[in-house]
Amino acid sequence: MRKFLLYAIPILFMIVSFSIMISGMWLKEPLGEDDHLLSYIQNVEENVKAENWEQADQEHQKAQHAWRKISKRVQYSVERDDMMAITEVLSRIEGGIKAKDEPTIMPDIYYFYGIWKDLG
Amino acid sequence: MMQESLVTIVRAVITFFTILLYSRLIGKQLIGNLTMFDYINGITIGSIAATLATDVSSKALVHWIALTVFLVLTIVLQYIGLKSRFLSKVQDSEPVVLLQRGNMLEKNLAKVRITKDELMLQLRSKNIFSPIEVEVALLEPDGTVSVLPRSQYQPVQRGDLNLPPKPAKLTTELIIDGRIIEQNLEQRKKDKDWLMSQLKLHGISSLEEVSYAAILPNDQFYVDKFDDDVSDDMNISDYKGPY
Repeated sequence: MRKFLLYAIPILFMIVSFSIMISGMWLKEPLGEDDHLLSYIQNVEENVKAENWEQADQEHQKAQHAWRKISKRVQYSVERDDMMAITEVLSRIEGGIKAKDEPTIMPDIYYFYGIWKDLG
Repeated sequence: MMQESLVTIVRAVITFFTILLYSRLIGKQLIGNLTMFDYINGITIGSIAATLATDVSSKALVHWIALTVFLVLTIVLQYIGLKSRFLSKVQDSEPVVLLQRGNMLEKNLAKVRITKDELMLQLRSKNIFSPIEVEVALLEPDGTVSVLPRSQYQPVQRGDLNLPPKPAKLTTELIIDGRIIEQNLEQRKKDKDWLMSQLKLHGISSLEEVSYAAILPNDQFYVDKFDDDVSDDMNISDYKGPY
């Protein structure tokens, strides 16, 4: 039993450590009802294109809320700069929606897609 | 946003146990026998580990992989060293003669960049105060100097005096904190009755009184009780405290 634990505990520790360090890849994906960040941003994009500013604002608020949830669970495995970039780009999108300015929002949305793809 | 303290705690825990595990895998060689390579390798591993624990601006995985690569390379080189004497010498170099029959070998000293002062310092640390006393002094790959004194300066051995040889033994621990170490008792071909009779000879009736008991190299029985009957004569503290 002792010998088993002698090998099992370090192996288990390595598996847990490795899982924590790569967990961002799957923890960024939706786990609940209100953390579909990527779909919220896609909805923002569609609404901005259709100039439904009120709808875009609502979707953006959902995205902000979702990011607050997701950031807590991915923080152990992703780069701080990527997290800051997402927070920053969400604020810029919010500004663009308030100003009802599609040309400033679209580059930020696609910048978000880029970071999101590499996050994890 | 990111709770950096929390992230640092998790990463520090991962780093701590990773380092513990990896240092056990590398083996004891790093501690007692540090060659220049081992020394630099150890520093680098420490530096990567520190970054893994504290640099939250980058992914933990990146540093962890670097740490693991260093471990794997170290083990591979250790294995190669075990298998090939030539490659082991390439890795760790080999001993260099610094002093032979009282003569300092200047070329070798220059090759390993050791001054005469440093050589004398090393000799003095081995209780040799004159180069004439030295048959040969070698610089080992781990940076220490090994010295063989000339025969006329070597201490007398039992064999020189034709004294009968005595078998070399170790101290065998029998009781620690009131608990008998059965395995050691069996090793010395003794039993519990013998042990209890020895304790009785020392005025001890219960195992609970015993802090430490052992058979010494000269086969004498040694026992130490929890109850220390020691006076304050040896107390070297000159300040009452508290401190």
